[in-house]
Amino acid sequence: MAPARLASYRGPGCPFCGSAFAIEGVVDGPLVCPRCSRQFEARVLHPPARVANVLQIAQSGPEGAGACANHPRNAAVTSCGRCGIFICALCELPVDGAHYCPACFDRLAQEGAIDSARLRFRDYGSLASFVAVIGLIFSVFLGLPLGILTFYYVYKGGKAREETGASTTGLVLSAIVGVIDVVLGALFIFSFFLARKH
Amino acid sequence: MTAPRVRIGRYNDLATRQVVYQTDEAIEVDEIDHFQIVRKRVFFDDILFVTLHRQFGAAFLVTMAALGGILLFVAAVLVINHQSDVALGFAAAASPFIIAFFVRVMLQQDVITVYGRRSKAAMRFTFRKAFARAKFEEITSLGRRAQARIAAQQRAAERRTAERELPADVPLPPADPTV
Amino acid sequence: MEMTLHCRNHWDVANGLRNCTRCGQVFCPDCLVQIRGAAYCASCKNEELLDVRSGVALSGPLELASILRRFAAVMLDGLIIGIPFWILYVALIGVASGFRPDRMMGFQPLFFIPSVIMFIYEGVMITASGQTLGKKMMRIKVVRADGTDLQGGQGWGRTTLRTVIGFVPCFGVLADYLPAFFSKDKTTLHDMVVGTRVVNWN
Repeated sequence: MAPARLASYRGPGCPFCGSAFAIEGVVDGPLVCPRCSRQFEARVLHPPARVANVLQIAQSGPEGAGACANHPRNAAVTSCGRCGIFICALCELPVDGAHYCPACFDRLAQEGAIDSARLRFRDYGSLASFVAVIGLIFSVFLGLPLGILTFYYVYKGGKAREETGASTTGLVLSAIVGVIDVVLGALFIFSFFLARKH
Repeated sequence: MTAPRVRIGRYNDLATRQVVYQTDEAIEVDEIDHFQIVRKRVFFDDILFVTLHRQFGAAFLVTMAALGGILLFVAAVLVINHQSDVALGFAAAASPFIIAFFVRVMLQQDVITVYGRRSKAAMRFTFRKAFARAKFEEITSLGRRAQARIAAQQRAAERRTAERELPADVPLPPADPTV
Repeated sequence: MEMTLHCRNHWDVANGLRNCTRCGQVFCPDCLVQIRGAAYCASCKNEELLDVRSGVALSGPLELASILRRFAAVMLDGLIIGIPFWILYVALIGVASGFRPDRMMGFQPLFFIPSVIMFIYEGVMITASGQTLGKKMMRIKVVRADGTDLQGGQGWGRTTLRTVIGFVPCFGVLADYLPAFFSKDKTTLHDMVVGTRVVNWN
């Protein structure tokens, strides 16, 4: 009973028409889709079902391994990388090269400290360019604040560049436009005040 | 920090903008959606099916033809009305669309689609066809290698448990447990 | 058929049994691990971990659709349904009144018919599948706050609320959609009342 998922990805299909494709017994090489009759090149792989990660029942006797902190009946195989408790093969959650117990995994995932579990990022690169352009268009009133906002986004984008792949050129360009925004905005405000004085 | 990743392609559609990367363990798809990046992965040991196909990309062709056609039409009307200089401007504006249209008709697009058990990734290539073919074979072999490694690990772990003896007081399940 | 349930691995244990969230089979506490509030058995733990790292975990946050996409979907709906029906309606009235402006004005009470058609179209489609044609094209869908499909009269309730609020001149639509820009779940006023979200669905 597979769990329902939010996205409607239903498994391999024809890359042309998207209709589901049974891949049992299919061999590598050119294939023709039964629905749309178009041909494509295919390779079939057989991922092993990660079957019952072998649970080890606590061995009798004092020379056996210690018991898991969460499951008294299971033998501990390793210790959590964060809190150090002994965990069995069922509890251990291997991510990014470290093993964590379920509680630490939950806590770290919430904090965003597990790199492979962090899957949402703000795209500072496009934010910076968008704000910079809007600042240019409306530089009369919004030039100054939007220019400063552009610098903030460029800064954040620069820091997150490795994670999110924001292009350096894009960020630099946004920064330049940001400078123009600030200059124009400041000029307008300045001239506005000067005009009032006369 | 995240594992080093290489940008290998992209997939742009009417409603999506996706950039595709390759890491040691997976193909990562960053979908850029209204200033937010949402990341999905297809792990190499999760790949079921990889395909490579060549397509025209009808939506792109229609759009380019429509835009180029409209601009050319305006240029033609202007020529008929003896305003050739403005018509030239419109013809020049139409040219990138017409060129893009013909480039796509002649070259077509090579698309690699990686179907995993729970996610999928796709990337399109218009010009780098040899790269696409090489990437296709590379993803397949990386997938096979990762899956063979997992299978070997599973077998080793199973052998290790089978060697241990179960204590006598734990009742074994019946030979054929009905589900 | 056995009357007492027991853990699949430990046949002697009969209390404290729970179901694995993914495969639904019954296990004792020693065979289940708690991850993000749900219990998983040994086989399913690896699958769930892979789900999390692949970005498709159900227990994760909903993939809320961007406001731009939602707006585009509404525009598309208007183009596909609203405009053709409006043209048809004007044509029919024109024919019925012989294209005389004074007589056309007599049909004024019927001006709301295209809106009624839009209302029915949206109500029916959202109740059936959570998607109108525009939403299908933009690959977004209306779901409940926990990610499951709409049930009962939620589709109609949402559409009714949206239409009624929209009747308030000028401020209705603004008040309805403004919260979407600021709320964490991008909920409009009608989303908040009915408890729905609009998510990416592709």
